[in-house]
Amino acid sequence: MEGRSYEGLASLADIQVDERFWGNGSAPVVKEWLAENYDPDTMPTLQVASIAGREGVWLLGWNSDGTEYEPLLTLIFGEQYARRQLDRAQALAAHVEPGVVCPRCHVNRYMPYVPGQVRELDDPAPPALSRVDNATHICSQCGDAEAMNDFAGLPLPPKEDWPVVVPGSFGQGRL
Amino acid sequence: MNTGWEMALEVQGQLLKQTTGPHWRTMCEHWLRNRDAKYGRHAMLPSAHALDIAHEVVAEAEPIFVTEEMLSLTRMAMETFDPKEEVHHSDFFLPSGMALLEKPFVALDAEGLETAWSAVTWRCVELPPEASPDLVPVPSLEIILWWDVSVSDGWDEAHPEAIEFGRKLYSSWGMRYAVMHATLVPFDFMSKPQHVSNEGDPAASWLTFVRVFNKLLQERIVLKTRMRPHRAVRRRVERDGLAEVKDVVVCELRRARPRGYEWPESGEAESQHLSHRFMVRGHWRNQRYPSLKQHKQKYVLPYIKGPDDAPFLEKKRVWVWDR
Repeated sequence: MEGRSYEGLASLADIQVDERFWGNGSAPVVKEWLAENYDPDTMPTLQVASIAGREGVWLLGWNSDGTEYEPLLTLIFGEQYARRQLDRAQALAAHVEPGVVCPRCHVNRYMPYVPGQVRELDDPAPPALSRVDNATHICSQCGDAEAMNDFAGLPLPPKEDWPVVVPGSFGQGRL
Repeated sequence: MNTGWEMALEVQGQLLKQTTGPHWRTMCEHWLRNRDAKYGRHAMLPSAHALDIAHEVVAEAEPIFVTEEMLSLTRMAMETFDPKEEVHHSDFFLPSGMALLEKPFVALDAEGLETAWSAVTWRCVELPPEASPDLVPVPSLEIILWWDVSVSDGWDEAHPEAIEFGRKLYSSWGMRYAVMHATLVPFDFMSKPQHVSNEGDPAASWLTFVRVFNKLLQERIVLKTRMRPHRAVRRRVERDGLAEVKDVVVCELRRARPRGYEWPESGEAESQHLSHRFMVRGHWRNQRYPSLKQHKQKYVLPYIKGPDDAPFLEKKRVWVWDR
């Protein structure tokens, strides 16, 4: 995806905002900000790109290099939000899912607790604390499984036996 | 009319057309929902991954045509293969392949019914460190078994309505090859029978087949011939979307040795005392590989032992040595 100037490609109103990059619910905010504040004569040129499999031109930001302006994402949403969104976009480009793989099941992910960080709607759930050592974070589903085992008086699989894989997980089923 | 081995390329083109076609997503959603409901998320997620990248695996696979004879040899070798042996990258002669079988591979499901699949695609991958809690790459195998819906098996008689429905559904999607199984299995789990066994094939013979087949390909007993398909076939699969048309690997038993040949290590003194010829069963030798610092199973082909002029005594196992 290579950025190009929007001039000659689309009118300001036709530029679309990809919420995977700008963040959930950001499209109307960005569009409104551009409609109310953007002045092509005095502000940096908007950069757009096409996205494979999707129609239209999509906003990347603006070319603020060498100008007094901050990047568009930072200007509209603030620096902390911008940094987080850029991290997420990089993760998306590298096909890396947010969160950490659960050490107990190797299947689900959890979002580690980071002070001051707000969870996104599509982020994995926060971790549970394993009952095995009362120290290791595991995914919510494994937390449920351990709680049920405990409740039923069944032994918990020790950490040496992790990952706990449900037998038959890779086997051929009858469908 | 295409030769058998040219069919391998045709099927590869057909699979690519299916996996990039408009109904692939819908098919996957149905299939995964069913697996999730029956076997849970743990079983569904590896399948979802395998189906998601199926078009990549098919596109880059080496097309292989497996003759009926080669299939018989593989099945025979599978009987004595120890599936608990650790799996390594070096076990896969072809890290990425699509094998079309001349005759379907038949396995028994938990109900004792015969299930048949005709093709298998696989690819060795390393899952990225982010996918592992230990932050190390995880060597794994992406694998899909394909059922040719025109082939009948034990289910036709036992569950005619379900099979008919399945056939109609795949036919409405324009797919001749239905997904019988799809998963992404880390090497570490491939040697643990409890994880690769399930109702469809409790013995997990599908996986043993891929492992043994790849091991046999490394042996000199198997003749691997690269065949260049006819131009018309190549052009047809190019139209199906195959960017790079590869030569088809045809796997056959090597036939260099004459009837009654004795391997040098059998020893002359011993053979002089043999009063008849008999079949020495194929078996696995636990061979040390010093360069790899590992022991690996190596298949020793069945052969006929004894003097040429002695009568042949047929034991329990029969192997058609002659053409």
